[in-house]
Amino acid sequence: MNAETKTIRILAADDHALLRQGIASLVEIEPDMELVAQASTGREAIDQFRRHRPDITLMDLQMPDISGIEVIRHVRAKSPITPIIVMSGHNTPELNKAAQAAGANLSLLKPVSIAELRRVIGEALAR
Amino acid sequence: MVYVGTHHIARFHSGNAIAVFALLLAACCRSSFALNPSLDINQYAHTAWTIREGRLKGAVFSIAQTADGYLWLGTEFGVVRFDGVRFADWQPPKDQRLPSTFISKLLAARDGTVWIGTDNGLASWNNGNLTVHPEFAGFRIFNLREAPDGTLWVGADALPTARICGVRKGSSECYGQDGVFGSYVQSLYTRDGEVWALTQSGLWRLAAGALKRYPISGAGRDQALNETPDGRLIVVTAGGIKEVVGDNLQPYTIPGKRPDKPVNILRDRDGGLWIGTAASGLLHLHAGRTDRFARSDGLTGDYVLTFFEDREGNIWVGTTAGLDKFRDFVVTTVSSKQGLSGDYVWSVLASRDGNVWIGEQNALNLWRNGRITIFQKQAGLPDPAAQSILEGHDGRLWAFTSRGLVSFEHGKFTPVTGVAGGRVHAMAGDSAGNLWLSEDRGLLHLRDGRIVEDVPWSRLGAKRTSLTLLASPEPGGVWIGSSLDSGIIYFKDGEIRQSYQANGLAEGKVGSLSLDRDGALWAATAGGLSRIKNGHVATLNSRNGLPCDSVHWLMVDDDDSFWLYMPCGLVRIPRPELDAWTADPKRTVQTSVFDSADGVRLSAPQYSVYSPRVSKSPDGKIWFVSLEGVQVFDPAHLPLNNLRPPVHIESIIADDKSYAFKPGMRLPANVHTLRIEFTALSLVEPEKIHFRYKLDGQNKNWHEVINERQATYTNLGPRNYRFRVIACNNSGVWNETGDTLEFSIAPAWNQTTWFYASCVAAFLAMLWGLYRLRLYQIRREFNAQLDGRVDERLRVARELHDTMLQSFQAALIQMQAARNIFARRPEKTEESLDKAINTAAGAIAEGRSAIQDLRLHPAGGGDLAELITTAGQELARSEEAEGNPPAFGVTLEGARRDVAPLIQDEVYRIARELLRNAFRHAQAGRIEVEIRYDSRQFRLHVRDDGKGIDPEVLKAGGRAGHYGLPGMRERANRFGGKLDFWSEAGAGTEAVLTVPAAVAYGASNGGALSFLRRKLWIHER
Repeated sequence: MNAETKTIRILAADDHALLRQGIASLVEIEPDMELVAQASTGREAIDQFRRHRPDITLMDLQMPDISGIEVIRHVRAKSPITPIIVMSGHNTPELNKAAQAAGANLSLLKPVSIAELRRVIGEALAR
Repeated sequence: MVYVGTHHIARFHSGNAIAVFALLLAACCRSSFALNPSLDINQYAHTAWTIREGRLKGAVFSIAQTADGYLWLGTEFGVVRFDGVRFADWQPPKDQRLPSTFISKLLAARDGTVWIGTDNGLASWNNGNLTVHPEFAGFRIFNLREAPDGTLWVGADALPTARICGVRKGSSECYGQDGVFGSYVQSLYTRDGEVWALTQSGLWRLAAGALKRYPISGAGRDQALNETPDGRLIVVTAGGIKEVVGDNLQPYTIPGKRPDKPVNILRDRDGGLWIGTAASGLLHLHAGRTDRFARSDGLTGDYVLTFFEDREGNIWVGTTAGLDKFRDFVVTTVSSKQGLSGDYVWSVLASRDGNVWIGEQNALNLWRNGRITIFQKQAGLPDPAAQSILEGHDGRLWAFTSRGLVSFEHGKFTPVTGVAGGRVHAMAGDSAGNLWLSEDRGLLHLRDGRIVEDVPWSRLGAKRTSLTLLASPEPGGVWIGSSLDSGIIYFKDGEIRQSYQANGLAEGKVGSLSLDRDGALWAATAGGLSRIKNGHVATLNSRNGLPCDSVHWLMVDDDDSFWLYMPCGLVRIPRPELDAWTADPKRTVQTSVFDSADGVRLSAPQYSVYSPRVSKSPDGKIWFVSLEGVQVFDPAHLPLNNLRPPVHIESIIADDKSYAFKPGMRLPANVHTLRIEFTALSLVEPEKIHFRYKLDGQNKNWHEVINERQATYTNLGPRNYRFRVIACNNSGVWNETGDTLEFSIAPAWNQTTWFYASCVAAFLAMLWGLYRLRLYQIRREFNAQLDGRVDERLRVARELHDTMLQSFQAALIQMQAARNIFARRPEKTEESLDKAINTAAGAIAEGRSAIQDLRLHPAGGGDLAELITTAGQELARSEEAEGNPPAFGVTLEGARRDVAPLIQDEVYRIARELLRNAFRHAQAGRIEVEIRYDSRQFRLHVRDDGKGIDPEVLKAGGRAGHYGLPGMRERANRFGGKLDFWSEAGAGTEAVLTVPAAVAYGASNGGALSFLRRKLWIHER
């Protein structure tokens, strides 16, 4: 988050390009949000996080190289307090539990709406 | 030989039946087989076994016959048992021994004990036990005699005192300990309660315990003691023959020369006396005559050691050089040995007065009551060579010589004038005084001593002289048989009245003619026996019962049976058989045949060209010409051996190992060759014994053999067996009881019930195992199919999730973004909506593909190339809407083969996905599919000339978020295939799917193992 403009800096990690574009479209018109980075693989997500240190990381669990769970652990290891929101196509308790155990804060069920995104981001930042 | 019995026995021709003939023969034959006492030794059948031949090892000192029929021979090398064919050394049981192997005397007592005298003591054999009698240890036993009361008298030689001992019920009482007998006992004889002994010191009589000596001159080893047929006790010594009369010895005269060095005597059952000598063979005293038989006559040796007469009447002679046997022949030969002028006999005529006239090339012989008178020139014959002979109706004898015809009357020969010499082959005469002569030139007809006709043969239609003439009962006529070819004519009063040429007449020259009582004319010819009656001709030959075809002559005996002399022997046809054949010429006659074993001199052609060649004497005997003199037999008294032969099974040998007989005998398992040896004890003609045997458990029927004394079986299975054998003697008398042997063969381990049960159990277990394996296969197949379906569903789910679902989610976000943007940045809304529309369209396409995949019928049944071609064409059509679709083609390499249906289905799905990727993403100008059917593998190539796949993507196994490449690889691996990709940016892409042949082509390639592998979905890499 930028302290002067108070924009929330977001990293979107999803292997599906259209989904990333969709998120980008949603975030683009929000004045207090900025999509600072995108990642299509788990390693790219780790790299982008390290580089950009976003305020919020939106993480798809199904990534082609390493799983989203592993990325969450890695990011959490690097940054214990950065909120990580999991985006999942399935609302399975097992996945949610695994993600939480890895360090995820909250989860979103795809497809996301801007309202829902805003709510979850707000909740994540409030914690 | 003659077969008698109720069983049909095959002879060397078909048609011998026994039943009827047996009864007839039994009625006409002598009831026992013994030597005819009227005959000389050289007229008996003689068989010799010499030591030199090797079958007999040593000299035969003694002979005995036990109740079981075996002949026991005491030799210098031990005891030998003889069954008439085989000599077998006899040994006592292992733990028992004879006092010596030099067997000097044998005696088979009436109680079954065999007494064995040796040069070192006495032993006895009974019921399998050998007893050595110690009281005779060291004695030489050359004499054993069984008295009527059962006492065994033993002559025991020893230096210095010989003994004579009576053995009875285990105890013995001996005489001569004081040396009265000297050192040897030469001969023993018992009769009327007395024991007579010829010893070194003379002739002794032992009666009621008292000894009396008869001094005798010339005592020594050359002496023998016996009884004459009329009961006189005679002593034969080198000094002469004496007879015991009261208390004295008186001379006993025998015809002929005194025997030289007599050593033993035998009186046979017919009253003949046989004297064996030490230097000149044997003498035979019979019917007031004495004849000799020595080594020069065929005796094995001139030193006769022993005689024996067996139960069948054969006389056995043991000499220093071998063993001889004498028995009766059915047919007797009268030759120069009996006094004939010679052995080349031309004709024989038995006249009504009982004389037998024998025309021989040296003289005309007259045989009467065993005596022969020879007539030659000095007797009035113009030439001694008497050709044909005839007895006229008036009893006058006519004889033709090379110098003309003579008649014999009142003891005188009178030449007939006017009849030139030459050759007359046959003569015939009738009651009117007509006489016909068959000369070389023609037929000469005389009456009252004058020539009436002289008819050349050409006028009678014959090319050569006739050997047979037969006067017709009607005076003036004569039957003439051709000597060249088949032809018979009846000539009377200068004319041929009847003529038979061929037309059913047997072919070949006519040997004899005979008129039957019914007026039929019988002709013996070279082609058979023909019967002519009322112009009809029927012929008997080998096709309807005769043993061979050519008939030299025929004669009817007093019993009305026909006798034929043929090259194969003397053949008898009972009248009923002939009558039956006459009534039905298609019938086969039953005959019996007498051959050389019966004394018949076989003759292929009829050698004599004169007649008669056969004649019947008033006593019924039939005389006929042979190459060895004249032969004669008595049809009414043919020898018949009616003693049933004992039959014994001698040994059982399994794989060359002999086994002792015992109850419940069990042979080892896996016997390869089993031989059972047996014999029958008929010693007359042992080589003519018929055996019938059967192995119950192996043979269905009886097997008959002649003179074979063993049965061999191979590879008998494990079970109980019973072997039975019966036999008949030379006269066809059967011993129906025979002998029996029961035994069993043990099963091998693989023949036991346990093994069979185990095999059955194993088989059932195997069936059960196969059943379980099949169940396992089916279950595994089902599970595999189920897994396949599950995998397919997971794949589809994954594909739907990864593609269509993601696409719809993206489309939704795009539309949400469009909505959100619309109020603030409307210009961006169109872009977002376009993206959403495209994304939705893509999702629909992906969904449609997924649905199509789900709907796809398994491609296992169709032609793979056609299926792929269709799929490519569909994809090409779907791309037409987007612009220029790429060119598409499918090629085949190798001979098309059937791919396993499941494999083909998988291959097709992979090919379809590869094509889909190529059509959608490759941006290719050409897409090709190549299908290669190799013998070692199946290959599918999908090539395009498009932009290629990013090497990093290939290396990664696929684009992120896309599971197509890994999914296909995984699919291929699952069924044992391999999917490889080659690509270069801008240079196109090639995907190669490789499947091993064993997997691709199924059971037809790679064998059962590959089949199993494929069936069980075992993966191969």
